[in-house]
Amino acid sequence: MAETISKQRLLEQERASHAYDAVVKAKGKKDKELKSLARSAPASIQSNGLGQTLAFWKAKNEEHHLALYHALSGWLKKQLHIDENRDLLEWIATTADSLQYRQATAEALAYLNWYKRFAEAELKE
Amino acid sequence: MFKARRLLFFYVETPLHVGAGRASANVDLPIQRERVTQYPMVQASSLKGALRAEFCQKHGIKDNSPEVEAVFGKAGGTGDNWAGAVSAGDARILLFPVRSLAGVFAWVTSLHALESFRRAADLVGQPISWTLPQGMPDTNTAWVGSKPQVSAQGKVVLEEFSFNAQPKAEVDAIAKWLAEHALPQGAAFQYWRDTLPARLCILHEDAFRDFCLYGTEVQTHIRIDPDKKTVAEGALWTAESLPADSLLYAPLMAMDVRNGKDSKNADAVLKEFDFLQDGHIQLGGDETTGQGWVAVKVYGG
Repeated sequence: MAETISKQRLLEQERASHAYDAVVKAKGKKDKELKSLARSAPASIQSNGLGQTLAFWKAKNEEHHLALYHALSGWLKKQLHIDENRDLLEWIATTADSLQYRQATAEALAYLNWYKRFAEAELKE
Repeated sequence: MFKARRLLFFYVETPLHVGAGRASANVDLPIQRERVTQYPMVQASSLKGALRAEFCQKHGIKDNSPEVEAVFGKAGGTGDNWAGAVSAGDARILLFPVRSLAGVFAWVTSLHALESFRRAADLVGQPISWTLPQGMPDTNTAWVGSKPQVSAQGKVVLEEFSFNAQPKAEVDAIAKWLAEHALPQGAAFQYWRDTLPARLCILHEDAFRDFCLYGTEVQTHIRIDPDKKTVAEGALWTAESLPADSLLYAPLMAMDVRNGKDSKNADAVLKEFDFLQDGHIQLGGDETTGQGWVAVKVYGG
């Protein structure tokens, strides 16, 4: 029991630390835009779906969209044991089954909660 | 022990936002959820307050009038207060509507949600007659009725997630029971009662939980600066609500009136709520933008 709790604790910490590093790394470019994008990201996933949201960011192809895209896909690939060299969107479109896709969605939302908080704290208006 | 007991069903007519304050979640204003299962719920205190308001309005009386205080209780100093005679429980989720590729939308539920409902019904002395299919649907399977409207080529596609449709006779029986006893009985609901068997899906518990978590409605709101006619600084937020066509249930129980004056017994107290049958009440926030209308069905008694 104690071990399960500490494992869970560790997972939240890992999400937090990955998100923190990603925010700090993206800092100093399009701070205002990234902050606003991070704020709206979870709601966008919930309304439009993970795949649609990722595809939208990728299509926009601006610095802040790509920063968030790479942060999220880096984390999800690590958590869902997807080959590092694959594109997350390609994995969603071709490989992921219904259950994996649902897990990816849940994991993305958990991760973005941290990312959003750190973006709000670290990035300037 | 409560002497008189019933079940209330709440059919959500317009998106229902019973808020849980501000939280560090996907949305700025999340809805109330059960701590353990994370299913959407309406806390008993929210429900009882709404019933109290409805009761006042129905009788055209004030909130502090003796009739209201006899039934709902009176706060105040020692010697001048008493507990209410009526007790509402938490409203819990039974059917959750989800976007479906075939048939527009499906009503999803799970063995866990159905069995929780059975226990609640048992608690109020209304045992449930239907039985559930043996076993459990696996993570990629949806148990459907014999004539499913939501499946095409053996697949049920809910939101972006695909499930294998597996017809079960028990699903028809459960849907029929719910149509007869849980959905509002007016003519306006005829179509919904008729199509429930074709739309009901019993999913794996995790899948049902995930839809309850990520399939709720998220509305984005802004506040306009009246002079500039643009969004006021920082005034953009998201609010979550339970989508229309969700079905909730809650126990409603009563004791004899305890104010030491009236001699109204428990049955008479519950009878006071018969007016709810096939009517509407308003729950949760955003009343003035048309949110939170629910149709009520009283079951038992």
